Amino acid sequence: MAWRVLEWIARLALGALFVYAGYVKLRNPFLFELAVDGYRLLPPTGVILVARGLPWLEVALGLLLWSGWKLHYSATFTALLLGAFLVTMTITYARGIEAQCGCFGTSEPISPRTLARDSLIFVVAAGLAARAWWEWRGKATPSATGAI
Amino acid sequence: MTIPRVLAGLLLLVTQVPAGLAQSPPDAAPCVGGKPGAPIKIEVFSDYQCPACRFFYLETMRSVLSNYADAGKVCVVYHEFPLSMHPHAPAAARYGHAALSLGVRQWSQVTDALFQAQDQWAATGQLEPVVAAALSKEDMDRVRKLVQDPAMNQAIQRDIELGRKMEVNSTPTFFITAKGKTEKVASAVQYPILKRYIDSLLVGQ
Repeated sequence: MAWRVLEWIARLALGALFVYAGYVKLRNPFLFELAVDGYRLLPPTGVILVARGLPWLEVALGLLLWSGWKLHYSATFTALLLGAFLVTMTITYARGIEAQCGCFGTSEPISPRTLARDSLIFVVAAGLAARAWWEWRGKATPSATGAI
Repeated sequence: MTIPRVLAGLLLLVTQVPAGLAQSPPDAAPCVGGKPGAPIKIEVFSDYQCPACRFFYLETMRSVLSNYADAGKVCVVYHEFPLSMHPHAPAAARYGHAALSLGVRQWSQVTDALFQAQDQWAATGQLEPVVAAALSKEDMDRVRKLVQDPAMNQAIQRDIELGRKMEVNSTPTFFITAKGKTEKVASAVQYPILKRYIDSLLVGQ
C-alpha cells in the first residue's frame, strides 16, 4: 500500500514538474534558445530544434505521467530524458562552461546544486520506471500462465 | 513518515529557482555601438584574454554592432571584467578602456586587434605592438599616456565592482534590457540565436 501511495505521489509530482518545466520554456522560447546555445554543443539549427521541441515533449510526458497511461513507457522515457539532461549538464560543468541550466527558466547557472537537484529527480523517475515495469510484468505473468 | 519529508525536500529544491529577470545595470558607460535611446540595450562584461569572449565578440557582437547598433536598434555597452586567472587581461583592459576614452572608432580598432591576436599576446604579454598596429601614431601616443593614468585603473575597478554587484561570475556575461525587463545570459552565444532573440524583442517596437 505504501509503495502504491509513493508511486502515485511520484507520478503526480514528476508530471507536474515536467508540465511546469515545459510551460516555462514555451512562455519565452527565444530566451530558452539562448540557454540551449549556452551549452556550446549544437549548431544554430540544432539549438533551435532542441529549444522548440523539448518543451512540448516535456509537457506531453508530464501529461502522460499524470494520466498513468502506459506508465512503464512514459516513466522510462522520462528517466532516460532526465539521464540525458544530467550527462549533458555534467559534461558542460566539467568543461568549465558556465552555461545556464535552462531547466525552469534561464537565470540559473549549472552548479553542484542544480546537478544534485536533477540527480534527485532522476532517481525518482528511475524508481518510478522500475516500479511501473515490475507492476506491468506482475499483471502480464498471471494471464500468460492462465492461458497455458 | 519519511515519504512526506522526501517530497518536501524535493519540492524545496525545485521551487528555489532564481527569478528569470535580472536587475538592470545602471546607465553609466557609453554605448560602443548604437545610441542610448535604442529600444534594446546589451551590456557585456568581457575579458580580453578569455577565449569565449573572443568568440562572442568576433563571431556574434561584431555582427550585432553592424546589423543592429548601426541601425539604431541596439545600444551595446562593453564593461571590462578581467579575470584573475588571466595574467595579461588587466593590461589589455587598460588599453581597451584607454581606446574608448578616445572614441568608439578607436575602441573598435583596439578591441578587434586584441581579440584577433589574443593567442599571440596571451603567450608573450606583448600588448603594445598589437595595439600600435591598430591605431594611428597620434592615437597611439595618447593611448600610451592614458594607460599610465591611475584613473584608468579606477575606471576598470568600477566595472569589476559593477559586475560583482550584478552577480557576474564568468565571462562573457551579458544583460539584455528591453521593454523594461532585463535578462542575464552567462555564456557566449552564436549570432543566429542572439539575432532571433533580438528580433523577437523588436517586434512591436
